[in-house]
Amino acid sequence: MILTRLRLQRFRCFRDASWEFAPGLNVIRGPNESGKSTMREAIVRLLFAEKKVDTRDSQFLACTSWDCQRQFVLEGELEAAGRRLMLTRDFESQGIELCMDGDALTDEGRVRERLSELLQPWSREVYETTACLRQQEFARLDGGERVSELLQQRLAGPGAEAGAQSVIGELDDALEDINRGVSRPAKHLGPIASTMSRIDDLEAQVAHLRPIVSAAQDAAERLEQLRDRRKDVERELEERRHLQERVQRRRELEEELADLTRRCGELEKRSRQARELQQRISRLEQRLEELPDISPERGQEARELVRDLDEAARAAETAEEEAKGLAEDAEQAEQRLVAAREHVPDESLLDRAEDLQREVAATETECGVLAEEVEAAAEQRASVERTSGRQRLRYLLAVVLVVAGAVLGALVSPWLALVALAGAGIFLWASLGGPRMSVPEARRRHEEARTRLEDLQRHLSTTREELAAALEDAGARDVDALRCHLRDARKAVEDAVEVHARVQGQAESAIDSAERHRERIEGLETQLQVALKRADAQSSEELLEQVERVANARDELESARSELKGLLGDSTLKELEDDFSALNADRMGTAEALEAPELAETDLTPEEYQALLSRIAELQEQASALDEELDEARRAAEHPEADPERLRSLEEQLVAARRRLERLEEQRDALALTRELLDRAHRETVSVAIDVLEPRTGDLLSELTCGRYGEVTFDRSTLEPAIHSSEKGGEVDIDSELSCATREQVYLAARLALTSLVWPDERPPILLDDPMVNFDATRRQEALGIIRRLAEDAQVLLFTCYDVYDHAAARVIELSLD
Amino acid sequence: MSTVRIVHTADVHLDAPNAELGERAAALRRATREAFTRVIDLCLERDAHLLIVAGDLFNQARPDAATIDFALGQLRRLTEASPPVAVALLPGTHDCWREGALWDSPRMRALGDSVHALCGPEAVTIHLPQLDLALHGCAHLCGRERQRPLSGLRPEADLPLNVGVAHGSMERGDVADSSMFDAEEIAATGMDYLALGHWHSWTDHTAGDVVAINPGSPEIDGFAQRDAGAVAVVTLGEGRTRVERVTVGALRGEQVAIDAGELGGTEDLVTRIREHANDGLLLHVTVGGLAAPGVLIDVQAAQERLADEFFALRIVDDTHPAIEDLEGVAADGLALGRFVELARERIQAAGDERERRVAERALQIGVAMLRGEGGLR
Repeated sequence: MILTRLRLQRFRCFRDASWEFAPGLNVIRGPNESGKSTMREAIVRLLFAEKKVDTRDSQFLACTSWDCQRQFVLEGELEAAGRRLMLTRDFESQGIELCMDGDALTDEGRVRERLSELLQPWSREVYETTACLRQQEFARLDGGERVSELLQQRLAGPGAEAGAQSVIGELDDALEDINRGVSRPAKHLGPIASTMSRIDDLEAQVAHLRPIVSAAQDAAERLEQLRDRRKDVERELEERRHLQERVQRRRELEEELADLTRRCGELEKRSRQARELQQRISRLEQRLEELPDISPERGQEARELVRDLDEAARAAETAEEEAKGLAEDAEQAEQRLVAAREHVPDESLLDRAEDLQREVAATETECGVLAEEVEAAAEQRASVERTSGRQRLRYLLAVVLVVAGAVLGALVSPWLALVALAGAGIFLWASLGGPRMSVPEARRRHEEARTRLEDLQRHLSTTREELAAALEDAGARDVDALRCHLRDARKAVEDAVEVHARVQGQAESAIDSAERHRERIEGLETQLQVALKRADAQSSEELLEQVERVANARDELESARSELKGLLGDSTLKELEDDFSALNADRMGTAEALEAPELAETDLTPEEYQALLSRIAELQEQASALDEELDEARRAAEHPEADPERLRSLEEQLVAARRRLERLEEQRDALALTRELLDRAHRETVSVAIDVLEPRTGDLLSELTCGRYGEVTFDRSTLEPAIHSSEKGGEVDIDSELSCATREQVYLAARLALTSLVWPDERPPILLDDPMVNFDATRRQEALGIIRRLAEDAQVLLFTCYDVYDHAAARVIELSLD
Repeated sequence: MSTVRIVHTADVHLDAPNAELGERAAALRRATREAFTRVIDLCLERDAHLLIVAGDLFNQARPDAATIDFALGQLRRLTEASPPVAVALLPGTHDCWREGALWDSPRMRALGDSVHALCGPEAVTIHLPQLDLALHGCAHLCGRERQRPLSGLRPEADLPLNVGVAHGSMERGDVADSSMFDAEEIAATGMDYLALGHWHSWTDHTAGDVVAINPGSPEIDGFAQRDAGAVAVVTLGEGRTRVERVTVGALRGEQVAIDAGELGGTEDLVTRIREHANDGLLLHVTVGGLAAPGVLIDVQAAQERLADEFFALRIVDDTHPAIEDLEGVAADGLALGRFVELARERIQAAGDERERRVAERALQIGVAMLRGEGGLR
């Protein structure tokens, strides 16, 4: 396709301008701001207008010439596939017109369709990436990385801002977000995990609640059935209890009747007894009137009088007998007194015996003293004899020592004379230690003492014999016994005197007492006579009988009256009979009540009544058991968590959550599939493109750099270009090791290669916006050669500030600042 | 009695779970209770003689105690009114009859003489002498298939008014149900009025001389429900049957389809849906059609943003990418084109609907991201 003519109206700096273009290389030359880039943009907008133009877009508004109120118009004449076309875009009227083969199409859709056929199905983006090199892209590029990214985006067919790789990255992020917490724990769960968690929570709640609600439902139904049964039981229980009450009523009435009957009988009996008692009292009162009028006091006096008289008679008789006996006792006491006086011993015998006894005692004391003296004399004699013997032995030793000392001192040594001196000492000691008494003197004193003792002992023996004879005469064992005997005899005499006097006094007193009793008997007999006369009695016995008869009659009367009082109480016989009549009427009424219709069929046998009670107890047990079951069922039915509405709501929320999960999983699967397909498309596209791109770019770069760099590779993933230098023997770092111009040459080679790659046949006009501005002359010539070759197959519009390309151009169009 | 006024409702489905509504289901249950309360209010306001519930008062044969308490409490308002309003209850397909179960329970029996449960293995007739009316009904039996609830219903000729009650589906080629009848059976009943239930929308099944109304649920029961929320107030006597439809439901349902091709993204969808905002509305939105390549519509986000503006909102994403718009892209030989080719292959090879959705979604995400038109950002 070639552009043969272009007209711009109100487009930026061009109010109304038109140009003719030739096939092959066209050089559009002009200084800065002369409209080169504007023309390039106008061509792009003419060929690839947006489907929908945003007339408020600032870039669009900037396209209209300043001070122009109307929007711009673009017109172009084209030749494509041997046909001529006239394309007009009027942005003022938003119209489009395509004249081709005599037809004028104005429908945007059809125009777009026809253009698409002519321009191949390439988009503006692809065009701008390949066949349209904008100067500012190079100018604002600050490194290979940015160019590489741009190239990658263009190769993958992205939009103005998104590349396949970055889209894949975005998809990965989105997948990570949506899957967060699904396979690995995460602090913040993604939507799927949180929905799954919600589902788990809801399922747990539903699983917990469902059996509770179900059980409560069962319990509610059971509760209803139980209530029904409870009512049946209650109804029967009521009936049975009513029957029991009626039976009970009958029984009470029967008991009441029995009680009334009994009480009637008792009252009747009491009435009869009272009547009998009244008759008896009348009889007793009559009898009392017939007996003497002996009051109880008089009767008592009569009884006491008879008793006193008897007692007085008995006392007088007793006193007389006592006086008689006492007289005999007095006589006997006198006889015992005489006898006692005869038994008193002679007092001289006692004196003689006491004297002898004193003498014996004195002699015995003297004998004892003398015996001690004899013994002391014997001991003194023995001591004198032992002292005398030891003195003789000391003398002998003293003599021997004196002799021996004198001899030895003379013969042996003067010092041995000292022995003689010792013998003299011993002699002196023997002389000083001799007895105070001589042995014969001691023996004499001993003999004299012994003789005196023997004499005294003989005298004692004689005295004792005399004492024994005196005691024997007195008939006593010893002196003391003799003394006691005498004292006892004297006491017996005194006692006998006292007894005699006392008995004599008693006898006289008894006689006086008998005399007083006789006087009292006389008084009592006088009173008795009066009493006998009053009671019409002849004797005291008869008196007492009469008194007793009257007393008995009176007692009997009192007893009868008391009995009557006990029977009637505070009532009278008449009242008692009235009570009986009333009670009897009650009895008759109770008997009639028993015959009432409501008590019909209540005359149960004990077995029947027992069966009724058993049934009532059984029903009560059933009711009680049912009440327990009812409570249990009520508790289960009223379980605080048993909320069917909540269960329904939870189940509905669960369904909603599961639906949401399905949607999320579908969204996740869509994202995953997007990523998978995009990754695959990206790789395949890039691989194919790169396989062609690499050698073509290499050839072009080799030509541009005069063979210095000829090997270019692209990273399959990042599309990062890599330059290999044979001179270096390895890869060259584009950013640090290549100059700015060489770096631009790399990307120019890549773009031109890409252009041939994506426009293999019919190519649109190739727009080159001064790509060689930084090239040196040699490399510019090489580049120009390449462009000229390119222009052989396609129309090339080269925008530049310089005239160095004029010679190679088929047409040169000059633009000026005016 | 010259005329008899009957309030006829059915398919109340008290306390029915509704997984479709998720967390809003509880609110719908409350709304259903309120609607049933309004039915009772209506009976009292209109001095109705008889309330007929033609099946499915409860949602299950073993409702929970709280649900029974509520229902019985409401019915007791009628039985304790002066004069009491008679009530006829028919076990339906959900609260079917089983001997000794719900309908025979002491609590139901304790409702009193003015509440009549049309229960039993056979069709039953209940006489309401104070209304000169005979009620004929055949309970739905638990676990029994192919029931013909109208087969045993015949009017009593000596009574001036005969009302039939049945719960089932009208025979249709596309309907298979456990309880069914057809127009001939309806006509053959010879009833003065046939109170039907089972379908949740108001339907007139009048056949021959028999006026037969299926009033639908007193309250909407989901997004798909239409023509619900009403009861029939029937006046019998003077030789004719008049039916008045009275709305008791507070909610309504609406289904909206939005073409994804008209949407530039989720924000557009939110704007479109917000046009319908109503807190008494159950809105079902289907976003369908072809979405422009790279246009991502996040229905979940839209639903979450708009949830508080509706009673319930459900948005179904039934969009497909406009693959044809990518024809040119697919042939460019670059990454986007190759990606589109691969995604299309996946879409075509999808073994099930989910795989297809995932592949289509992947295509949209990939195109959007590669074009830098939003995507995950």
